[in-house]
Amino acid sequence: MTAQSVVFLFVLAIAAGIFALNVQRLVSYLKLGVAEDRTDRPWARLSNVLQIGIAQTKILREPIAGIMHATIFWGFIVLTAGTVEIFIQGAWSGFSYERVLWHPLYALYAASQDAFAVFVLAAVAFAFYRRLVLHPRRLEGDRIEHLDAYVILGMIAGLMITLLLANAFLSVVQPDAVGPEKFVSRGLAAPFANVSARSAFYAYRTFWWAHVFLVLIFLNYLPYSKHLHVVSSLINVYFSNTSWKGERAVMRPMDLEAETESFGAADVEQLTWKNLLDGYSCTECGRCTAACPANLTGKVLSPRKIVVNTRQRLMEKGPAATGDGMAFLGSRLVHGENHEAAESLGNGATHRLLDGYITEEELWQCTSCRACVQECPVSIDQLDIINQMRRNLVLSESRFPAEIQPAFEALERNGAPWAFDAADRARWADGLAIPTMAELTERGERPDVLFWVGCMGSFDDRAKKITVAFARILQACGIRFAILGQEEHCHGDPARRMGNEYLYQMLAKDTIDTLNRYAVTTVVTSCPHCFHQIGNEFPQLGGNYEVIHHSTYIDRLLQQELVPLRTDEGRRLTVAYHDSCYLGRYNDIYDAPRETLRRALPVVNLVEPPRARDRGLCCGAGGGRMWMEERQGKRINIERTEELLATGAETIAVACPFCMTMMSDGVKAKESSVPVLDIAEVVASQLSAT
Amino acid sequence: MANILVFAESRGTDLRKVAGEAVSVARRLADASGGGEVHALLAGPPGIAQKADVLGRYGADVVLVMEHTALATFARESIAATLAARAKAASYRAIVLGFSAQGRDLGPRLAARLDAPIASDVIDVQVAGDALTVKHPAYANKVVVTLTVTGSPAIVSIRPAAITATESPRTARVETIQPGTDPAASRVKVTQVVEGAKGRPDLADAPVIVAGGRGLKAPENFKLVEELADAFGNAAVGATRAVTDEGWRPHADQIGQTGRQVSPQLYVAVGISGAIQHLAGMRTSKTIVAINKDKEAPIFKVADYGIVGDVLEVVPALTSAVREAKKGH
Repeated sequence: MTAQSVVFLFVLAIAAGIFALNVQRLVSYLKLGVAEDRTDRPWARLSNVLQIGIAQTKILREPIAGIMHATIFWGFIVLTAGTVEIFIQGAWSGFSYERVLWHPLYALYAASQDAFAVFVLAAVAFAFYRRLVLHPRRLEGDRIEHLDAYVILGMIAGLMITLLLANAFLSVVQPDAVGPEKFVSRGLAAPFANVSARSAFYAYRTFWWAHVFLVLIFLNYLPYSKHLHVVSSLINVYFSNTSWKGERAVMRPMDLEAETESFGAADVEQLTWKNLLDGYSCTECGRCTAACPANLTGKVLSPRKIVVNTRQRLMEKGPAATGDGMAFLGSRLVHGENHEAAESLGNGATHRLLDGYITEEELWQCTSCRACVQECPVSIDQLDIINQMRRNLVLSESRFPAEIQPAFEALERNGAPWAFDAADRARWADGLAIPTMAELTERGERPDVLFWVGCMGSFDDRAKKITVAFARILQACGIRFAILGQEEHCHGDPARRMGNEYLYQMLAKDTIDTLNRYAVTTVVTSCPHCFHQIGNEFPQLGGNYEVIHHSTYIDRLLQQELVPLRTDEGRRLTVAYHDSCYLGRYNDIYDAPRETLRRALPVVNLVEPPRARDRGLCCGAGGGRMWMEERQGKRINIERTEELLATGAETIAVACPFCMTMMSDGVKAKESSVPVLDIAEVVASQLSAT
Repeated sequence: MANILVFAESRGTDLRKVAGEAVSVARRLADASGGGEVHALLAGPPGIAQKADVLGRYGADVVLVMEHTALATFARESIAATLAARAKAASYRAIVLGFSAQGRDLGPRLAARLDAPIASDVIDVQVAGDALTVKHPAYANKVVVTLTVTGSPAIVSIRPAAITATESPRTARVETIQPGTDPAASRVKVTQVVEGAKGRPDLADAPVIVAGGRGLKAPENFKLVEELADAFGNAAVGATRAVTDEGWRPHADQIGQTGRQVSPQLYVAVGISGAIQHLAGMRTSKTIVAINKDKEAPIFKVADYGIVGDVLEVVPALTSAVREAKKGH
């Protein structure tokens, strides 16, 4: 073994050792979080890693930055093979894959090394240009954040340059060692053809060592950088639950009988290890915040800040909790965003994630629209953290905006978020000959489906028209359906979204009792929130029903040609459909409402605003925002209405009673006369007279 | 035959409206129980004695006047001691006070000092023989509870503006009395009085509310709503969320689910369509009048009286009609 090999192995052992210690340290911090099993469905998880991770599907949602990142990422994968070769060379001088590989395969490998080194360099150059010249708003950050990015980009560029130059000088020394496949290296060698063999050899050695050192420094820099995602993001994608339709949006189960000092999360050790891993995986790309309706309209909530601050708090708390002696690192290497509050609080007993890093105000601004989760390229679940912290605010500290107290009270006393008489719930059905479950049961009959009307559909005058329209369609199609009438009350979803799990479980369990008493199996509803709650979240409490949203149900009826439509096609109407978050990003229902419109209006001209489908902008009412004041920035519904009106639509179509309220208000505020209609109303207006 | 003691609430040298209501209720109770006397305590800074006549007009037989400079602000401990001493010295069937900030403070103090029953936030009182029954709303006005109060004296605090004061004029005897304890020696010191919005009553206790919505079109048109409120004389001004969001009115004026929840005798909705958010804050009002150009507006579903028309024309006409009607009184 040569002296060089000994030195190399020594350096490698030290670097690997330090890295292993850092990994162990970071893992020990993760263990501060609550345990949670994420080992189910290994194949589905692996498939997520292949798609979202390896194929970079989410990154590529933004084409320019996406291609830039994917180039660097794929370059890393390809070049890692080269790094392995170089490391073997370190131990065994003169080693080359050429010795062990079939030649065409080796040629491909060799060419790929040079080609990707150039691609990565080009991508890094573009990344610098983007950060220094273009300044995308979503990359805003403090000095450390920018410095961190430049260091990493510089190191990547350094790795590529040293690799190419090492090969170039090797080809001067030993032309056979660098074949024509390494065309870039050979090209670079041309100007140095006359350099003496001795000088060329030293230059080769220098660049070779520089490359090796850069690899090892890079590896050990990562644990102190947001670029830790290089290591953690594929792991994060594997353990993430943000992909499964419907299920991904189900709030965590909660045992209210548990012997615990506090509910929800006020600090990092009350979050789960997966929430903490999210922190390690965030590269601060800001795609979440750029898509956040609250942030877009000038509010303080930034989903990126939620994740970054969670990580920062963990880095502060970790050394103290594990006693690993790393406290001196402090926040010098791991920064956070806008946490003046933390600094002013000092290290008192109240210093924690909630209040210290993340304020109440931010948490209540969330509309639970999932745009942040949808956009995250590494499957971080920002909303999960927000929801757990809201629970803590409400259940443990009784801190919430004063204006939601009436909603909580009304839910508890009246079974609806507004204090209306439960006795008036089915008044919309007066004279429509719609039976209740109780009436049918008394007659010994059973309906095909239960029509779950929901509180908006029962009490809001505008939404009642949607309810009637849907009921008319069902009647025209000869569907045997019933309603619960006065036995229906809120299933508790608004309370759950506002952090009041106790109130939610009370209402939900009672609803399940009612549904089970009538042995309900199939439910249709015109409210996406009811649809999501009863269909996706009730199973957590033992209620299992097939729940179909009216967009899907009407679409099926139209497909089966059961709907008696007028035969005249009417005039060509330009319609913009506004996506409901709880249908779309929660449940992947994008096409059914659009198809419903196309089938009911054969000559319709469907137009889309720039933000549509899984990028659709929330109306502003989700996450309990319907019952809160919007105190900061522009109103979200105005922003969205402007986007929809800008399409030139003559009608705005919605499929949710809450979107209906927000869009109608927006249209009124813009003094526009464009009607806002639910898809059921559009179809009902096309029903033939008979 | 039984006498009734009343606390006639004042602020500075002015009587509060609830004082007349309390005396009027006491008069009715005294008459119903066989013609007892109504004794009203009038406590305030020097000069308050002049208001004794007003209490006589509502049916007070005796006005107990207690003047002291320290009574310029509400001296809870001294007044409670005075009332308690009086109630112990003479036999009263009931003590009536307002369910106001002052009454909410005094009532429990008296109940404790006298070991007497108390009924709060009462909207109706009846006495028949020995039985004193009261009605009070519960569960955010959803139900009205009828209670029979046994024991004497029964302390009854009445909801302001819920019971109309009726006159029963007589010349009240004025007795000057000394405070039960030194009002200046109170453990509670008023350090500052912050004045609320001047002129109109607060939304919470106004018998009439005139509220404006987006139908007013522009912030300057809100003066139509204010003029109508001023014509009523006892009306507060409210607004919808759309209006407070636009900044036409301060946020504190918002009526609705996320704003103030009100239930006045008369609610006039001007240019308000009646979104669920707004209805949740005012639908329990006794009488609702809606003015809106859209006859399909949901507000008409909860309104007792509706006027379909342009608010810019209807409201000024209504304002002059209210002014005319008031002149007739």
